[in-house]
Amino acid sequence: MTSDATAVLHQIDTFVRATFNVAADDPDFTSDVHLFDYGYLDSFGAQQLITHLEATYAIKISDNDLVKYPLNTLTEISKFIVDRQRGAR
Amino acid sequence: MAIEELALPLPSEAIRKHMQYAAWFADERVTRVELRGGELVVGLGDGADAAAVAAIRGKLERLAARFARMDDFEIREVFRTGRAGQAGQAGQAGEPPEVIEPYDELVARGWVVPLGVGQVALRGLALELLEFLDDRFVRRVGGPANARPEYYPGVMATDRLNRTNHFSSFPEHVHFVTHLREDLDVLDQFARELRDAGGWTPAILGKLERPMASPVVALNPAVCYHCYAAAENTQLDGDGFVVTARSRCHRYESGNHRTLARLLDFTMREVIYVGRPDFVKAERERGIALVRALIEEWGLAAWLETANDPFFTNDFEVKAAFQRQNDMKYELRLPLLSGSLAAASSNFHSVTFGKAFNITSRNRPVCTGCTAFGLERWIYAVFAQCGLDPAAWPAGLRADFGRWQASHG
Repeated sequence: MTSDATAVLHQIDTFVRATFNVAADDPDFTSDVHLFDYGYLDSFGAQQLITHLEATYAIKISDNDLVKYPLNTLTEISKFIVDRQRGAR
Repeated sequence: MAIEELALPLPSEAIRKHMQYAAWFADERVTRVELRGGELVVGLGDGADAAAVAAIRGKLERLAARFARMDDFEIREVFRTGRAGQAGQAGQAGEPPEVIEPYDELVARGWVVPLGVGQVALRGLALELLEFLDDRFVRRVGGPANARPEYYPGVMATDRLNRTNHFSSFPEHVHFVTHLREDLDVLDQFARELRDAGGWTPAILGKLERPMASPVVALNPAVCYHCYAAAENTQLDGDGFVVTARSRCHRYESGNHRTLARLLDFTMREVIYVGRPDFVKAERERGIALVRALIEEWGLAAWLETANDPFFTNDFEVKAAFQRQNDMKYELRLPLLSGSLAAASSNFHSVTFGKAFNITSRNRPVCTGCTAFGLERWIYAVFAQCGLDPAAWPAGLRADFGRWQASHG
């Protein structure tokens, strides 16, 4: 089953905010903020997010994917998920 | 029957290389580590019985398992510079220069004096070259970023070092500093044992009951930790600031210490960036461009590539993969006869140290990064690539070194 990019974006936004304690009024936290540069996720947070995405969206994300595709922002991650579900990546 | 060595088959060259370094830390009884074909061979000195060998093998296997995904780590080259000739013509990028192994000659000339494992005295051209390089890193890499000079101690309080995650990431490197306990019985007995033994022997401490205090400081493993500690609990007004500092650094690397390439006690110059992510990333990029311009002007062969820190804990792969995937560490490598040497690194730490020391900007922890130069490694790599006679160095390096000498009497 494939998902809608906007819905996925909203779901990941909710997961990251809740799991990594992002303040509701944090002005830097947008769909296009670099999650790693801005420190919302560290190496263990990234692992946690990947595990969540794989389980929730029934996809596999390999180490190569992390190098090959930009997966740094909520927008990039949600687009990747939808494309992967459609077999486009 | 005592067994004097054990062999461990390892599946790939990348894992073998990693284990050649790391195996020294597996067990105190390891006295030799070498690669033989597809195997790691570990010498056990006076030998060990079958049970001890099994225990050591188990530790080595545990260690090797941490590096199982090494082959998945792609090394990406960021740039490569070619070696220029004496007349200054730039070499072809990728063209390997003729390199020598300079250590014995440096010792023969008295420019390097070995003082113990991983410790050296420098004199003559070796010392001049170190000071020249440091001056140029300050002026040419720190200068354009308006780096503010700072001065740091050679030790760091263990509670501060703890907050950098250094203990958990690199426990094998830590050099703790301690002293005899403030206890007259301990001090008198120490003096008595020393007299009786005719001087210091390591066995003396074994004769005393609980002689040493628990360490509250450790020798510096890196320069930049002090920068963050000095900025603790501050809220930045602007986008960020840049600092430069030079300090003695110390890392215990067991049987891996050699020549000037891996010292126990060495000198590091850092240009350190603290601030908003975009500020730190832009300054880091500028630092890389400035280093490249400098080595091109000097006519040195070198290349910058993605890298990861040698995390020693069982979460090695998670941390190392994350560093590589996010281009958080680059190493500048210069050729040696035996391969290459990482003489500088460019690092992005995200908010790790901003969080650890509560340094904020617009109510968020700042990011940090640094460009770090291992000065003894630099002089070693320059001598290896250019020889010991400045008259034969590439024209750009020779000219710049000449200008520095003229301005330093």
